[in-house]
Order: sequence, then C-alpha cells, then structure tokens
Amino acid sequence: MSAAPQVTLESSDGEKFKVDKEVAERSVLIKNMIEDVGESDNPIPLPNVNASVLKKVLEYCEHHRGDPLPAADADPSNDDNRKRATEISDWDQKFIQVDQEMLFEIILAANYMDIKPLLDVGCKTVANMIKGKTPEEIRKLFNIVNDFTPEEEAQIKKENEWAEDR
Amino acid sequence: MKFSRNINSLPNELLCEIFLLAVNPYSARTDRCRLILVCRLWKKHVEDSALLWADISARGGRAYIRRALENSKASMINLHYPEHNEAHIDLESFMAEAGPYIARWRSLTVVARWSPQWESALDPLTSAQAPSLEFLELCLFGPGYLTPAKAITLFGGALAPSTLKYLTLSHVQVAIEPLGLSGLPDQQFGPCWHWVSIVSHPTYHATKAQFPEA
Repeated sequence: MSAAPQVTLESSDGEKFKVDKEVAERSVLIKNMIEDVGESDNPIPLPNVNASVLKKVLEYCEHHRGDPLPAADADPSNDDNRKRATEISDWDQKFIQVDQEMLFEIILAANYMDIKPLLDVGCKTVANMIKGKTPEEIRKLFNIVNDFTPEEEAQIKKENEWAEDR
Repeated sequence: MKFSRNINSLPNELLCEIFLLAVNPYSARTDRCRLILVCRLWKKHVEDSALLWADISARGGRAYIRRALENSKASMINLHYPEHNEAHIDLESFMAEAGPYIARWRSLTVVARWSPQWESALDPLTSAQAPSLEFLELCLFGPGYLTPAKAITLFGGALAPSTLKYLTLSHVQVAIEPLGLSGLPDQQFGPCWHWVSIVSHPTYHATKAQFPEA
C-alpha cells in the first residue's frame, strides 16, 4: 500500500508543514493552487497565515478530512442557512474555544484559504457571543469604544424605536 | 506569537455575515438596534447590509417599516403581520407600505383578527401578482371568522407564482382553483374549507380540513 500523497505548506513566518494532500485540499485556495501548478516538491506559500494559526487550521482540516464538501451556492439569506448559528458540532465547539485574537485569526485564515465550513464555525461562534447581549455588553466583550455622543445615541434609539426591555 | 486582531479588524463582508447570523428573524428589529448602538462602524455596516433588513414585521411602526423596506434594497423580503395586537400598524396600512415592493416578497405571514374589511386590507395580495413569493400564510381569528363568506381571490385571479412552495390558510376562504394548484397529486379540496396547508415543494403534499365544508 502506497503512502498518501503529501504537500508542504509554508506559513508567513517560514515554518513548513507537511500534510496529506487530502487534508490540505480542504482549502479551496490550496486545491486550486495544486491544480494550477501541478504536483511539486516546492512548499506552497501562505503569506497571510502564521505558523500558530496554520497549525490550528490544519488540525481542523485533519479532523474533517473525509467530510463532504459544502455546496458553493448556499444562499445566506435563506432561513435554513440562518439557523446554522445554533448548530456547531461538539468537536467544533471545543476546537474553537480559543482566545478572541486567535478566533479572529482563524476566521481570517479560513476566509483567505477558502475553507467555508471553518469560516462558518468561526462566524457562528462570534454570532453566538453577540446574541442576547446589550450594546454595552457587546462593547465590553470585544473591547469596542463607544464613539457615539449621548445625543447621537438618543437619536439612534429614537429612530429605531429602541426599548430597553425588548 | 504576536496578534493584533479584534472583531473590527474583520473585513466588512465577514462582519456582516456575523451580524446576519446574530439577528433572529423573529426579533430582527431589536437585534439590529442592539448592533447599531455598539459603535459607528457597526451602525454603518448594519445600515448598509440589505439582508439584515429583509425580515420586516409590523411590530415596528410605520416609519420603521419604511426604513426597513428601503434598507433592504434589492433583497427578497419576508413580511410578517403578527397576532395578539402586537402590530404597531393596522393591516391595511402595513400592506399598503409593502405593496410597492411586491416583486421582492419572498414570504408573507398574516395572522389577523377578522373584520368585514379583511379582504380589502389584504390588497395588493388580492389584486396583483407576487412573482417571487415562496411562502404564504394567512390566518384569521376572532369573532366572525367562521361566517360563510365569498372566497377571496389572490394574485388578481392569476395563477399562483411558480416560486410558491408553501401555502397555509387557516380559517380563510380562498378561491384555490384560479391558483392553478389543481395539478398537485395529493390535493383534497372542497368548495369551502377552514384550514388548508399546501406544501408544494419538494413533496407536493396537500392536506385539507380540520373542519368539514361549511
């Protein structure tokens, strides 16, 4: 039995990761690059992803290596798709329990590497962090400065018929 | 390893995707407002993201409904007229506001108290075609809903839009024949009924009758 074909990925900080081609091809970006340049021993550069983030992304890809690939034409406005927010598998929930900076790095890497299921997990996680919180709680959670004046805030509440008890 | 990421360093389209996931269609107005009040950047993203305004409920007042209809831009919209006096606008006014956007209606749910003006209040649903409508639910309650009445005509008497996947009628008499649903294999329609649910996709299943014909 022959070994599975492998590829080498190179992070922005120069670290090399040798992984099964099947795992690397969870990334549509990498899959397309391999198809475009053909089989090669040269490392595939990923200038937007550093080693610690790439390691985490590859952990996800390894776990999901056999999963069916997502449909490319999913409509984000569709109700079924919007219900996805509450549907994160146990493994994915544990995987994504990282600090906020790493969470946003993973989301950006998934976006850049075109790994839709990982991007979904990241976005859902952030959405779930936001749900049910007041504006002040959201600001505190994400360390966002309130840059509205009191007058602007009052005007926005008026325009949006905001009620604190809702 | 040094990171410098925070939520506002995400690209606009990702932040909007997150907002979309964070807004519940049934509490869209309140959820959106929470996001808008966080900071100027979030306010801009929410106001610029048409999909975030696609769920429009009569729980908002007229000004709010107008704003949502405009902010939804070219997106398909889901209209909801709720029961139990939750609406902050009467049905006729709600339908009049939404009427000019009928080409963008994806779903319409009306749960309303019966009145003699019920049929006219539904205009333009009764007089014009809704070419993209996928989901239609009409439910009447209150004294008078069981009064035999002339069946109302939908879509100006034209065929139901080919996009229609779900039709639910509760205590509402609708002229079904002009809708062109007669080809559905499981239909069981009578001349008058009080509860009908039709799911035309994907199974083409139709059920009838919690009450017998009047």
